[in-house]
Amino acid sequence: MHNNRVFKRTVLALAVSLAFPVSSAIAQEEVAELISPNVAEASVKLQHLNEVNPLYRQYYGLAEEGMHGSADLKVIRRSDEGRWLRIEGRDLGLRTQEFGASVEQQGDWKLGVEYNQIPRYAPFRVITGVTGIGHNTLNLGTAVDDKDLKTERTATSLTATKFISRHLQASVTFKNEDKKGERLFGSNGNVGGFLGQLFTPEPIDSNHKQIEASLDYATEKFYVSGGYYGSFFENKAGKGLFVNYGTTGGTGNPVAVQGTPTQMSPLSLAPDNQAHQFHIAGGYNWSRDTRANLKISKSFATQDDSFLPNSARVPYYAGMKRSDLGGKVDTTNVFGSLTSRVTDKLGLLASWAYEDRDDRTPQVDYLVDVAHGGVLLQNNPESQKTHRGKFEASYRLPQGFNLTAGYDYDFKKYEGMDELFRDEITENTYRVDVRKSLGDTVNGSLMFAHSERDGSSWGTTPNLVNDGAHAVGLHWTAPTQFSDRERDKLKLMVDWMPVDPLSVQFAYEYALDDYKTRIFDIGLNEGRSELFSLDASYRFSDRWKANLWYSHSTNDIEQKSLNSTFNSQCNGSSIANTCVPWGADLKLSSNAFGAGFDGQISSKVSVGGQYLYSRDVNKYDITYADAGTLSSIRQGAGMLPDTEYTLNTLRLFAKYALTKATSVRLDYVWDRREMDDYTWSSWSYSDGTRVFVEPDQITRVIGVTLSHAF
Amino acid sequence: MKKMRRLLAVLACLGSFCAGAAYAADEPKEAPKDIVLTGDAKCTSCHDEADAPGVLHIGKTKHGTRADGRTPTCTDCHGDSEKHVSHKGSDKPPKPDRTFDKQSATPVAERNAACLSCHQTDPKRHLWAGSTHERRDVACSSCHDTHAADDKVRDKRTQAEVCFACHKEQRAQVNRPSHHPIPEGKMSCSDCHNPHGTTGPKLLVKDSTNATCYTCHAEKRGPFVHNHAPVTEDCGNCHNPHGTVADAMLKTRPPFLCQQCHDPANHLGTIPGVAANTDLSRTVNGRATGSPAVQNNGLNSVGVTQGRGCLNCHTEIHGSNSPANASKALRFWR
Repeated sequence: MHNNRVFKRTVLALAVSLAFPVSSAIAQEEVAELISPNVAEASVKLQHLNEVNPLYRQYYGLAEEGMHGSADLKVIRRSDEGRWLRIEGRDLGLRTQEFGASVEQQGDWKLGVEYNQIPRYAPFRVITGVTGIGHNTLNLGTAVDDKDLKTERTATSLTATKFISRHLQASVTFKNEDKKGERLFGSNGNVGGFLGQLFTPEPIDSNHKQIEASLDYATEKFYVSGGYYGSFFENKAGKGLFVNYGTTGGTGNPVAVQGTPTQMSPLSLAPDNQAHQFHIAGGYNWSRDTRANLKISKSFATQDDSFLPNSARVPYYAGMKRSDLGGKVDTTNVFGSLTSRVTDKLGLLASWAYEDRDDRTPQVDYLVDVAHGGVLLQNNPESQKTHRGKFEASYRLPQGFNLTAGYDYDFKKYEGMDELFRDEITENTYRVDVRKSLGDTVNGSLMFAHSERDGSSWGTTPNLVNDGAHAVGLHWTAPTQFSDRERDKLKLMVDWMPVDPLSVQFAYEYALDDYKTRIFDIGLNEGRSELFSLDASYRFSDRWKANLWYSHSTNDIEQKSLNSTFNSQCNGSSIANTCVPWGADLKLSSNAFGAGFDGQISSKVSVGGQYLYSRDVNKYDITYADAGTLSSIRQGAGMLPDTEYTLNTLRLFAKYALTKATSVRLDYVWDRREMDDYTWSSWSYSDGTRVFVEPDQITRVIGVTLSHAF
Repeated sequence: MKKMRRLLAVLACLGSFCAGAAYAADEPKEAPKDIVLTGDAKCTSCHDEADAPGVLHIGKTKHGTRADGRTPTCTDCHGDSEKHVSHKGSDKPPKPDRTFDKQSATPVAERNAACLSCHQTDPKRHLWAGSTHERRDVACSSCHDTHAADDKVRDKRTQAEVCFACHKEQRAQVNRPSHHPIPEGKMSCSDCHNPHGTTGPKLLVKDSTNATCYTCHAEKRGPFVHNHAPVTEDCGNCHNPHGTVADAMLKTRPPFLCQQCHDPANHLGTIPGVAANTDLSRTVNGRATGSPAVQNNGLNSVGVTQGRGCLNCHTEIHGSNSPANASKALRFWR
């Protein structure tokens, strides 16, 4: 702040008011305008989109080229009695439109309503002969056509809060959200032993209602609160997706035929489900420097949506008499924390979070696993208990430095999960950080953390040798979240303000995960990431400022596996029984750069701009052992092209004040997205559907906005 | 600037002269009047909108609503600052008792105490003490502009910029092709995180990662006839919600992601390959195979790599609710 200024506008206003009574009224009006929140503005926007591009439209929702009209609205009124009225609308007329209105007596009560639309277009084009998309029955037609896969969320929220007394507050929020459209899904095409994949988009037509109510009593000394959260999901799209085509036979690429449903039909769709949660919480300040918190919540989730009826397409196991899952999951959460500033310099924190997810779904026999020995299998309710503990001590050192040492404890206990996993996992983290955050030109922090994770013994014994019944390689992998792991993390951040208008920030982050897998290094071995970032901002004057930033990051993953064929014995007796160890080194390299400026050319003209560049390059380095003439590896396997994604976006605007109340704004967007990705390249579904990603997409948007303040 | 000062001086003299006509010379001088907040004249007699940052527009905010008896005045936050107020002379006066700028010499805890003296009773801030941001000396003013009507961090279109001032990795991630609509302004960080402290990990708004995700993706909650363990445990096992290069915000694209957990028996350890490079009728040694695999057969290199990878067949990866007596349901095929 420029605290030494002597002559100020308010001083000027006072002087003027004394000298010239008429000017006094004008000056007071100016001051009143400066301190009044009242606004009534409306804007009309016309924007021209030169071309529809799948990546750009993903969430902007502009799916047609040409002119798009929309309106914005903003009304804020505050009365002298402290009553607020807010009405705000954005993008009205577009798929992204949203609207909000609220009335509030500040410090007493508030009522609000919000409406929000979020579109999501799949970032590709589909050409398909599949019909019935968006519904629960799909057929394969003879004509092919372009099809956009999209979903749209429309959410309406109602909020009410009331201070029943100075300390007692009640609040209720209700949200109703509909989601409609279709999204990528898939199915194996198998009808009679032939495979192939089918394009079977999932129909989306769901409703999700959520209600949250709480009562909160809070004073400076303590608080107690209680509340309820309810979530009700309803899937109106049906219980199953019926696919009336499949691959019946043929050589080469299997071709799907209409009228021969794949054995996978119907594909199950998400069932209706509900959850209720009740919580009580409290906190107490033992002293100015010591505070304790406790929160206990209990959730009851159920899923008892009726099954698709027993039929030739959905054959029930003879002993299975249920008509729904009867899913029931009770979850208990407890959180407690204690913070204390023991001395002026020493602060302590201890916290503990506990979760008991108790899956009480009844277990019954559902199927006979013919492909794996004819075992009778039940549903698999999964329960787990989690403990997260934290202890931390901070000590204030001279010259604004602060030293913190911490210990984190993470424990998980699993019940009812597949027997091949571990029952218990424990992770201990030790960390230390030093930081400086007090008035100087250089501030910053340095943090280092080391974690060690291990667990109880593994379940089912890995299949190491040819037993004549099972494939070698069975149960070799340790699922990542169960694996022993050592993790190191380093974070450095420096803020430098060499002179008042210039601010520079430097950040460096490094993380290394070293996994010890179950056997022969199969699975995820190592993960390594590094980030370097530099930011700078400069204020040229009160009217002009600019900023720029650059970040570079890398992410490396090393993993190993074993190439084999179905039921391979890995004894090298034939191609089918020859297994080949292989490894992949997956590298992601990212560079991002941003720059922006805004300023005022005159009291009537303001301008601004932003430029964003982002480039991600994935490399897939695959190596495998030489298995000689009995190698089962197909020629060319392991040769994966790099995938690259580049984003260039330039946004410019200029705003001109025609009058004090009316302004016109010009916007220009130039957006280029380049995608080089093998995902859909030379790929076609067995039903003939092709998916296209445009490799180079340039979108230009020119917008004109006329705004008027009433 | 000199001209302005001269003008002000002349106006002030004129004002004094005119005032002299109205008031007796020995009448006590009128005290400065409050402009926005009760008692703010102590500050606004010198400071106003010409300061950087301007102070008067606090009147546009809830802090500037006089009708609400709880609203503070300048000194409630900045302290009485007597040395600053009573400073005489042309040199720079000492700073107020509490300042909130980036180079402030006021300890962060003391700065935050000024805010918490009122806001600690807000339900969403009950857990501020002990939260990661509190423990890392993040000041309220690092994110909030209490003087501004349009606080950047409270607008979902601009909030992320504020968070990215520290969270650089996430800034890069949201610009990747698969992301939540944060750059498009349709979602904000606070939809999932409460930066003021929560009971959940990573300051998530609910008690767990999954409970947070279910607020928008309730169809994944289940439980299902056939549950998938990592899904039930933590959505973050497979997804990075800040953005990825792989579709569906998957941390790594299939089949690599799946092969990190699944044993290599049968077709699960298949070496990935793409149609453009792979000859499925021959082995790596150029030997013709007896039963040439079809190009988009689910059990070969191409079938597990392209399209949706493993999910081409295992489409019900979040859990299958099919009651059918079919092993393919167990393996999330139907």
